[in-house]
Amino acid sequence: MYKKIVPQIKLETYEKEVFEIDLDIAKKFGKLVPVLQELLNDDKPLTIKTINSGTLKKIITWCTYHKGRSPPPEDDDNRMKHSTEEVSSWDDKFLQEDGQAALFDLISAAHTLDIDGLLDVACKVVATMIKGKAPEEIRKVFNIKNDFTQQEEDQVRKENDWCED
Amino acid sequence: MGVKGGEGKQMISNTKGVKGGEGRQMISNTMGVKGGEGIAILSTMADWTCLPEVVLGKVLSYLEILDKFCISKTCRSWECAAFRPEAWANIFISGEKLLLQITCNMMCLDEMISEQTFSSELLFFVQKGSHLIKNLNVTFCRQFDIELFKQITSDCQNLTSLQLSIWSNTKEKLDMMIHDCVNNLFIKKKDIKVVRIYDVSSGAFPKKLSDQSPFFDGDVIPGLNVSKSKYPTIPFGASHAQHLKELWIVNSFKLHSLRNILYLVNLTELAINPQQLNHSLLVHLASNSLTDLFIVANENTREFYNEAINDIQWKDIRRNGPTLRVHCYFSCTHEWAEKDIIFKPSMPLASLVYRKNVWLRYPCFISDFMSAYCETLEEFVDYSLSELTYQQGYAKSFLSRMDNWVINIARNCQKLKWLTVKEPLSSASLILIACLNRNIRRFLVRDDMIIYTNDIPDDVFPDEVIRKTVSLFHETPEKLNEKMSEILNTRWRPLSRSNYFAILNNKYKKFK
Repeated sequence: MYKKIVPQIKLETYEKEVFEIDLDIAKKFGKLVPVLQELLNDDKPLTIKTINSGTLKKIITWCTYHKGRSPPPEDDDNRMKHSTEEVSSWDDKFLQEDGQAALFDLISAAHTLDIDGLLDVACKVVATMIKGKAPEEIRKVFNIKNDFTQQEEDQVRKENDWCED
Repeated sequence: MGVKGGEGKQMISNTKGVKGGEGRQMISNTMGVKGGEGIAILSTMADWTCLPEVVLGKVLSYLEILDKFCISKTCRSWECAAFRPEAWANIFISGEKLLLQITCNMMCLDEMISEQTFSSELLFFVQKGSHLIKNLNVTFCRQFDIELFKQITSDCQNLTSLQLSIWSNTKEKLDMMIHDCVNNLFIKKKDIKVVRIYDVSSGAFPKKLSDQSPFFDGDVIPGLNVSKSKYPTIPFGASHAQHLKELWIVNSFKLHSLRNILYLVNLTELAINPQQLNHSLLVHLASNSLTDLFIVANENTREFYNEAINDIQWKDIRRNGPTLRVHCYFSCTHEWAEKDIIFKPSMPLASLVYRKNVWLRYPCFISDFMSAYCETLEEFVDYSLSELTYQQGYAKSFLSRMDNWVINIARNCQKLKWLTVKEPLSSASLILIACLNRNIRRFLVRDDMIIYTNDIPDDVFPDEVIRKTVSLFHETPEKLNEKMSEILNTRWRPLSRSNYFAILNNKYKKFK
């Protein structure tokens, strides 16, 4: 029997685990597009140290899920749209289910590999987490240290004094 | 294969030439955000402050001004990101929401600061970012902070598109302040491309017909000196001519003269009220680059009984601008004499969108009139928000329903793509309409507005084949859906009441 051969490329993650990725999924990785042909011919995996196995697995799952689904047409209204409403419930659950650290890794990886759709939707999810929160709350959610000194804050305030009547 | 040792091996080793080398660089650069080898990223506790600025800018682009402001107050690196161009490219402000948020956030800020300090900081923040704005979209509601708007518009060097929606009944004073800001903006901004001002607030056009002169006092002939008017002119003119492409002034600049529009020779899209229609203006614009004219009337557009442009004049306009398309959007509850505007056979009507609680007046003429637009009509949408209008005439006989008119419109206007009407139609009529006009892409029908019957008189059918199709498939929803989908080459389904309104209101939200 014939087995249909799907062209694949090999990627090695931080944990030195090698993944075989179908070509049509790898095409979504903007950064890899210029070198895809070489990767196809090569048996040695490409090592990407900044991405761990868990994240790569998630990326592959995401790309596979969205393979058949084309993005909504960019009409006039969509272009101007800024809201975070359009994140599908599948995406929302998928991106948040493993916690914040995983989401962060995913965003970094999507940025590194230049996966547009994934980066968009992940940024929207982060935006939703920020929406309507005061600075202190945002710091708490994202575990950010306030590195403005009190003096500085006062300074900024003084500089703005002129705005007041 | 050129596998090299060391660093090259872990990255993209087998690339040739500069291209590949570049790709490698890019990948290794981005990964080393913090901690050389990129291991930091894999920590269990993510350090969000080291997210690349570009990415953070993208996150910020989905947030409103106040959220951006709060972000900038969290830490240094996020403050930098808050002023990334992509974070400011598209700004949407809705007055009501902003104020509400401000008060909420006031409560839970780091430390208690006075409202005044808070708003001055916010204004300072806005001032710092305003030059990055490309698209500005403001909705004025109750109590909108005009200071904020002033600040935003004072330094918009990069602005290319401005949209203002004025919803509530703003005070006259606010109205004037908005106009002042807009005026000042356009004095400075000569290269703006899109201006859309859409006003739903009351505040009327002049009452008497004789008062209509402000729009065009005196005979205006381009190139000739125009006598001084006692009315101010709209703030667009010769200096905007090169760039301004889209201009909507719906219910706004009511007491301004429109003659400056004559200078806008590159205008492709213009939206005005019926009162502002003018034959010589349209001849001039259409002979230049105007392709789409929107005639808009909403709840607060004053009733209008006057023939703005007669049929012969439309012929003239059409001759001067053969590509001009006219779109009429009428949404108001009261009845008034829009027949003076729309029922002109020579008008190149492309869409008629009618959101009223009544069926178009003079129903016996409708199909004739609509058929006059057979060469141009692409969109015929008649819907209402009032449930009552959907109940009238339900389940009467074929001749007392509107089916025949709709069938005629569909048959004659072969360019029709969007079609929806308020009246109930029979399943047989639906199939007949689809058979007669296969160009219809969106035929929106409410599922409770279909009567599953075939009471079409024989003489309405054009031929035996179609009559057979209709009689075979009209009986059940399943058969109807299947046949309609097949004929229209799309997945056709009747819509639930809520879906129907969701789709239509979304499509026409800009002309509410």
